[in-house]
Amino acid sequence: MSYFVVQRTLPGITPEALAGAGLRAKTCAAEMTREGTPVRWIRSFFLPETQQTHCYFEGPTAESVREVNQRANIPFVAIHEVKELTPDVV
Amino acid sequence: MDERRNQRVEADEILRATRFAIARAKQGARKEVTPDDLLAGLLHASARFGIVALGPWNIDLEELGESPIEETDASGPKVAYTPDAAAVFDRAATIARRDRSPNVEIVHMLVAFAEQRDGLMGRLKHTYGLTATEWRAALARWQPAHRNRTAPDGAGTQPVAGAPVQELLSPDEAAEFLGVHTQTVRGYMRSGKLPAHRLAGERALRIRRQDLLALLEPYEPE
Repeated sequence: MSYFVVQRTLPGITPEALAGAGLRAKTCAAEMTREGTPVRWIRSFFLPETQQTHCYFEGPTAESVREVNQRANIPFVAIHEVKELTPDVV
Repeated sequence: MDERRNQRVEADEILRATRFAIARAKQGARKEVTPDDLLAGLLHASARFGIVALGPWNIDLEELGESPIEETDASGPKVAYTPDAAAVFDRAATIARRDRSPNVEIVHMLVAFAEQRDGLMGRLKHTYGLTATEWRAALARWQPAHRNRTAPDGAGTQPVAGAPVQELLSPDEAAEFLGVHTQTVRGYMRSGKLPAHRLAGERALRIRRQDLLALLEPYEPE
């Protein structure tokens, strides 16, 4: 499994709309997992200054992460693979 | 954490509803999940024996033409939410926030359909003579059938026949049992008013049902 960041620019997005999108992502990821492609939304960060949102997903490929976002009807700018680094491993 | 556990229960219900909605779209060989699919899923997830008992209304899903769907098969087209269906989630999230709920529940999703006049919601309103206000009011007082573990008289001590009595409760469940906010229960725990226990080696807290009942004091009118 790999980690991916989904970058979005959602100007004027409200916390409610973010929560709605999160629920859509979660339900679509569950369906894809049921279909045999295990994808998981991990967490998201909203950057108020730039109005950007960074959403982290775990999945087999970037394509699987793209698909979950398309199914959830959440617009995005780019999807990149990321390498995880935490204080525990340095 | 206990909140997470409770949220997971809620999430499971929503997932059940959306899984049904997706299966309904797939059954119709559609590539999009519509608000009608969502509403059908929400109603089925809230029904018992095909009936959603909501206030004075017994919403019969068969009568609405919404029969159960076999969900065993995960194949079929890849389906996405339509923009209208996506908007239902956003409205539900707004409603949940106004309801001061930490998460979006099925009831918030159902309230989000209140103003809908066409499709399945239109049929439902027409069949049962429901207005948007009556729909919201009934949902405000509503407890889904499968979550009615305790008697509806508010005493909460008499389990429904056949339902197992849950002796250990999480702080969220304890709050629901007492009809107070979780923070109130946590306040009782901090002040020592309510004994709580940790599962060995875990963070999870559990409260004995009998300790909750022990909080009750007789009401003495002045």
